[in-house]
Amino acid sequence: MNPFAFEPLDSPLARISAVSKGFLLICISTAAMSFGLLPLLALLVASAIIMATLRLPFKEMGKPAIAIGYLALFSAIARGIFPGGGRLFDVASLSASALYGLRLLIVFFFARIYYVSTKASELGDYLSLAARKVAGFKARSSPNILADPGMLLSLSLLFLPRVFDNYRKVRDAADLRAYGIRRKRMANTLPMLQTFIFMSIKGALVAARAMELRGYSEARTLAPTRLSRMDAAVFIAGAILLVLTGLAVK
Amino acid sequence: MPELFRAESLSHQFRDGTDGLKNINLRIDDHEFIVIAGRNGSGKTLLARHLVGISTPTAGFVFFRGIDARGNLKELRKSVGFVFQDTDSQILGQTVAEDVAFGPSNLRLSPAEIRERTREALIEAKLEHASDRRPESLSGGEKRRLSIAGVLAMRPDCIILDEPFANLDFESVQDIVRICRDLKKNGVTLIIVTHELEKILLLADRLVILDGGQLCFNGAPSSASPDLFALHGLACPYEGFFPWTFPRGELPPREPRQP
Repeated sequence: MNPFAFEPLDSPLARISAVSKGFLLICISTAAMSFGLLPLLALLVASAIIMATLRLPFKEMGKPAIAIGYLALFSAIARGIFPGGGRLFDVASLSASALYGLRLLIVFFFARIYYVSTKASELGDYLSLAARKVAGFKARSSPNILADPGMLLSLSLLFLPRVFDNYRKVRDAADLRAYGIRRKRMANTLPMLQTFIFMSIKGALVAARAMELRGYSEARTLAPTRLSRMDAAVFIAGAILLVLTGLAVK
Repeated sequence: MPELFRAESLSHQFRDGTDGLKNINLRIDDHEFIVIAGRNGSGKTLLARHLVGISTPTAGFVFFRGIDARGNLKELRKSVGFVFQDTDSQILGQTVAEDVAFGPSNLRLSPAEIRERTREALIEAKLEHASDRRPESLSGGEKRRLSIAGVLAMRPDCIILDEPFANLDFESVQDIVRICRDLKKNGVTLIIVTHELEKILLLADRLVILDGGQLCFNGAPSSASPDLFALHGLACPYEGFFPWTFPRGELPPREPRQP
């Protein structure tokens, strides 16, 4: 559920700022959507080398890759079906759909590299810093979490897996008490749903109390990564890609 | 020793009319090690929640350093750490190190100071090897140590642990006892809420027993009689009285199972 660094990797990429990596990701995505086949293959090889260097498990990418396959299939059907002249399908349109699938795959690979090498808290710190700059920071006696989007991001990423975990627990408990045997009617599901909601609310309340007890303050110290020479190089690489995109490299 | 907490005629009544706490008068001093014990539902966790100001008394007061605790929350949060029984829900960081750093960052310390405190707390809780792991992947004992590390990093004067031994194996219990012993040595006031007295009472300066929301005993652990423990639904932790000790040597003969 949480795409961000579950186990931050000890790689040079993890030491690059989330902002410069984000800029590069946007540039790569833009380029991937307009490049021709050869530069696309170069990007694919580059992403595969980076993933192999980071030892990213390719197995985990199966499900999203299937989703990309479906999108490419949909694109193929939309492009090729009933091309006219009484024909059912235009086989020549398949190459364009395959290229489309390749573009999506490259964006997905680089996005994955970005997520596993970036801490959500770092992004959060940038968000909160930006919010402080835009809205003007004013410490209040009672903290307002809406003024701290970084903390909101962090908490959301923390709670989503917990909500699903709670659901699994409730479902298991119900199954162990023969829930699966009964006909699945709305009335049978309601007590389960009630327990699930109750557990989630209780968990949220305990977390809120834990935050309060650990003195949560919207004025908390933010420590975004300082930009280094490496970041400058990443920015330049992104800019070069943008220029190449503008030159319509095929 | 200077006074840290004082409960005066503290009472708490739930919405359905049942009494959670009844007229509690208790003083806790700096550097004390107190165990609050009692059977399930006796009000021990509720008392701890009142001490840290997350429950509101129906009657009476809780004073922290002589000032009403709920009116002194800022100082209370800085000085008193609280570790819940449910460790999962109090994890607030994406990684172990980030979770430990949550408290110090709220104290508006410099990033270098936050890093130093986080490192020290992780070492104290024997979690330095797991600093980059996500908290969900830790074992029950490690999660408990993580929640303690999160509090340690704030360097509080007092730490309250609610049922710190619940669901822990022997090794993890030993780790928690070791942390408590170190904290006591460093002069930190410790308040342990538990019914598992055999694990911690040896270290305690004072034992407080609650039953039905009432204060039933408040004194040196050695002055509590075996009958007192039994009366309040607790296992007597004294040598020779603890009911679940196992005789060394041969197993007691078993009755043959009837066909």
